[in-house]
Amino acid sequence: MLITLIRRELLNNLMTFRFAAATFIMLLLVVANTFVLINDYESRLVSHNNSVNMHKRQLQETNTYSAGEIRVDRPPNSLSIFNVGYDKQLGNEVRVTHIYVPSLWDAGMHGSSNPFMDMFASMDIIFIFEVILSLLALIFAYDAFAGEYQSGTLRLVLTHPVRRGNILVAKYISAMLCLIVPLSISLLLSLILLTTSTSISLNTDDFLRIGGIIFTSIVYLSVFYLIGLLISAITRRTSTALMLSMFVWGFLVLVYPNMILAVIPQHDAPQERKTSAYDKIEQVWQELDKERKQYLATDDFPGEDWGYELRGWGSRSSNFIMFGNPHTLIYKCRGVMKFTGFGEEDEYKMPHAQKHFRYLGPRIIDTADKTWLVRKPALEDIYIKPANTERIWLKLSPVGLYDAATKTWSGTDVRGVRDFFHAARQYRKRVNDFFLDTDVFGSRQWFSSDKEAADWSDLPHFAYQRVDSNINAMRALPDVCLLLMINVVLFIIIFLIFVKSEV
Amino acid sequence: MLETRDLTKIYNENVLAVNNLNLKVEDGEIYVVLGANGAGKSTTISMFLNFIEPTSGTAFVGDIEIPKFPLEAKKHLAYVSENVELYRNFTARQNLSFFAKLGGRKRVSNDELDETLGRVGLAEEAFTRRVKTFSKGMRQRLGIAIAIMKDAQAVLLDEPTSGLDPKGGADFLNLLRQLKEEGKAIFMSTHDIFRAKEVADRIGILVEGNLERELTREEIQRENLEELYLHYVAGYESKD
Amino acid sequence: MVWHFALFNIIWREIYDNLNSLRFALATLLLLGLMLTNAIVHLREHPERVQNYHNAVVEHHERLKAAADESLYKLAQKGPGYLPKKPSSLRFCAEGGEPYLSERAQGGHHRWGTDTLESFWILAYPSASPNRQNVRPVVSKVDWGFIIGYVLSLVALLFTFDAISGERERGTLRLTLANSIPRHTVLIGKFLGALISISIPFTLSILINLLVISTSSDVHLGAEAWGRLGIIFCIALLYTCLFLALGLLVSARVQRSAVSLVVLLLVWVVFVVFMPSTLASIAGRSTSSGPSLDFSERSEKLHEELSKEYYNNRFKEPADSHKGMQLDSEYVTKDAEQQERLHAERLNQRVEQVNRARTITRISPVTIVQHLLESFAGTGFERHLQFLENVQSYAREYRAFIDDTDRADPDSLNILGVPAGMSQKPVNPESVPKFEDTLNLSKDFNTAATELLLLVLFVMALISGAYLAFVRVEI
Repeated sequence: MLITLIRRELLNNLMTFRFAAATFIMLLLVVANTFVLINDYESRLVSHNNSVNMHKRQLQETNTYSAGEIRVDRPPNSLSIFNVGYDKQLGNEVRVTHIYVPSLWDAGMHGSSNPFMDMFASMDIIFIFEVILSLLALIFAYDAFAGEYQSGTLRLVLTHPVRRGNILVAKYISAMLCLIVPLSISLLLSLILLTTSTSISLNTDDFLRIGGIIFTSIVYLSVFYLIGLLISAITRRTSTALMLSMFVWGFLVLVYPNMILAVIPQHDAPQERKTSAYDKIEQVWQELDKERKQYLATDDFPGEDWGYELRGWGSRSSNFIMFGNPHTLIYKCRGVMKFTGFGEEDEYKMPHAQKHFRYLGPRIIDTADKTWLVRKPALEDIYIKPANTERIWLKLSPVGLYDAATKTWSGTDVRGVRDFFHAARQYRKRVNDFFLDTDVFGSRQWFSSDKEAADWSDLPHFAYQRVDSNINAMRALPDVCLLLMINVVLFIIIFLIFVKSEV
Repeated sequence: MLETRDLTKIYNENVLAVNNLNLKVEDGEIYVVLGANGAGKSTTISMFLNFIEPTSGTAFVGDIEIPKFPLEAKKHLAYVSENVELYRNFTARQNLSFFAKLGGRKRVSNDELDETLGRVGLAEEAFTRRVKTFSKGMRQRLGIAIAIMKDAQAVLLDEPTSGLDPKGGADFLNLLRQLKEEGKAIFMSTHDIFRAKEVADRIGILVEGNLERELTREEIQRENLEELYLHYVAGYESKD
Repeated sequence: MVWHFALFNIIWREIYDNLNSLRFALATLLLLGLMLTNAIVHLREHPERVQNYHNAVVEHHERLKAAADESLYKLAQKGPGYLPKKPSSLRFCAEGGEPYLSERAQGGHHRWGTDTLESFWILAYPSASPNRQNVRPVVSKVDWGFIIGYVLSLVALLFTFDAISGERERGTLRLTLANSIPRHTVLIGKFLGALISISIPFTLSILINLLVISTSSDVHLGAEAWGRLGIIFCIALLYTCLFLALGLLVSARVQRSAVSLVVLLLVWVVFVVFMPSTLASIAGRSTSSGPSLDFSERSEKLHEELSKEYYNNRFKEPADSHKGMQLDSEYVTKDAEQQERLHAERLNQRVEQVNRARTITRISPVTIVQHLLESFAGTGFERHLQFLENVQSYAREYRAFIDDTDRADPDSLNILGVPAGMSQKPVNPESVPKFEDTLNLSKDFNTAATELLLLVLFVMALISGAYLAFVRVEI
């Protein structure tokens, strides 16, 4: 019985103009944009590789350890083709140094991209789905009940011994089967394009993530189909149902996501939070400064110059500078020396200087770690929390939920990007350990290359691996569950309305 | 007076809808064209109203050639269509007044509207109700009111009695007779043989675009119309 | 003259029908909500923008005064400082990607210095990258451009998709045309009826928006601004006409209203939602083969080469000799020149790329209308270019002033860029030219003219298309 109903519905749907047109448009858009997106990804990858090489070269060319700037680069995420998220927007290179603990807010941007081009909205496959799939689902749903009420076929069907629940289920299943066709064809095509591209290599984890994206897309599709069914069941006239569906679509897809953040009150953390944290950080550094000066005053070398009055060939910062930015709560010091040679008369200063730097290095590491203990929760409160509140507002619409879930699957959400900075922090620890173990701070190469240039070959290597797909899944779970729950609730409501309605 | 001369319509090069139709409806005469679905009845009416350009031949209202002067011709034509839904958000009065104005009337008083609506048998409480609440019969009456209101020389009716209840049907025939008394040329298409027999002055039987047979008033009374119709339309021969 | 009368009758009926419909109520609600949001956001953000601008102007003046009080050399070496862009009071009409366009140019960029010689000022163009550290969700601004470009166009389609196909389905079209009314009258009647019906909620929401904005004490709209708003309103109506005509065209061609709506929505989605960004990324991509060296590396390399040459020559001359000073001057000015050229080159490349993208995206009507709104609201990219032009002409004026003043001082050696070679007297701060950003309406008209023409052409093409479709259709 159910099969008969489903078959009829399927035929009814598949043979329609709307199905053909929507599938065609969807394929066109997805394929065209996949080309553009792959291209964009490739150019970002090239720029990433260039930047990695440049940083390597620059580091090799630096002859003293203190002047060496170790930079790590965040590779572009290949799944950003699906949902670009924050992948392009947030900083993609960060310095790894003992002076401060790197975070998202210290990152820079490599690549010679044109900042003006950010004016144009960027696009990804999920955005196409967001707009078209929802539209498609509503177009399929609006006359599911209203049309049958109007044409009287529902009465005809119900003269036979058919349960109403069966009709509803048959409609749902067949429409979903139809709707999955354009979705899967277009995804398949874009996947084929992805795998044929030489620069993109997808591993098993990536396919699992893509699977998650597909599943979420189907759930999203179903939400909109059910919304359409609900409207259709309530209004009972096709023209009214169509009109209402389109307004609901316009509101959910177009208006709500853009309007809601402007309407809700701003969630900025109070300014005091920022200033108090910054004061604390400044204090930590002042302590370091005091200790440092104390050391200089009491050591067995006269004068309090941080650089031990070294005057060789090359350059050095004239002062031990400490500075910060209250905006991002960063605080750091600067004391760089790049000497290539010394006169004989300077030679006696060397052991003193080395001893000083050997003393100073670990203290700076320690201060930076202490700073991070203050800075991390403050950044969390000031930047992450308000952003999360805004995200919750956006998730009140299924579009927002879908967007958030697919971002999480792709790993282009803020958490995914921050994973990189977490890796950078781990790497910093390893670099620091390396510096301490090999007594880099106390070495002559810290400030001078006259005897021997700094040797960077033993430096630990940085490798960034994105988190496992099961972690992505865990992160996406709440949003996907919410979407599923919306489905269930809508289905129950429709069932109740449909069962009780007069025909 | 309505007249067609060799009126022919071929759709898409090969589908012959109306073939060399020659007929004439005098003033004060009711001409009923009988035919199965797709026989070309509606196409003929559409050509009278210039909704469709004839492939060849021509049609006249009075002495105005319709394809050449369609706007002028339409002044003398009123039209009642099958199953008209009308403007759903308008009341009966508003619909009538709207079409009266389209027909060229400048001012239409409520009294005049109400009189016409009453004449077609609409209940007074329905005058100010929105048409979306109307039954099919009520809408059909309103459609006829619109045609009457136009006070045209010729009236074209496209299956006007389909879906009317017996009372409505009888009322409708009376209205038609009144119009005939007023001297209008009436052209009606239908497949309702009994009503046709009751009211028609002449009957044409249209089969696949060809006017197979024309019956005068006397012939209508004399012949067994049903059998004749079935003979032409379905190729069906009576057993005896 | 009968048809004339019939036209009004048809228009009146259309309006009446629309006023009683669900779509009218929903459209009114939607537009009102959006316009109110727009007004509230503007009132929240605009005063801060104006305040920032005033602060920047004050800072600019103070910097000039401080340098002028010291000496002409300081004025010449340090430059005029940050040159702020004047915010438009009509920014609520079109955001125009303003957050991505820098709010200022940098006139004075200290790069290197020795005890005796310091780098000369150059004009640089810092870029704004508002999202580098922004972890908040990025959404498009609800400006008039968004409301008109996306929402109003969608509403226009929803008002017309069944205009003809619906009447055909209900049979009223036959009844109407059974009267002696030419078809184009019916079409025009439907068109004007829909236009007026849409104008009602649109005008209402705009009036409320402007009421909220203009009654606030923080925002002042002058007579010119109201004129611009009037033009923007007319452009919005013209744009609405485009979609009304499109709706009528499809509605006339297609038998069923539902099919008509599906076609229209797909066309709308492709042209309005996807076309602009897809085309922009294609256009942007085609030129990304930039120089292999990073900008800062190039800049450094140029400077290094020049300084090597300089030190080789300078070595031969005594420190304080006239010839030596001239060498210094040559070096400093040449360095400033080539650095500034480097900045200008990069800017030009970027501008060119954006211009290409903007030209290509004009295929989409929504881009056209957004460009138009930007030009009349005084925001967006064209406006930014105007600002850059203002900055550059100010830089010339400033340099000419330095030159003239230095020449007027009899004690000066007139060797620019060297402290000892220039006038050391303080300058009257009043006489120093100050930067003031201006907005030029006639220029706006020029840039907008082509786009306006394009929009009109689109509308005419679609209206005649709708006419042809409707006249030929068999009913």
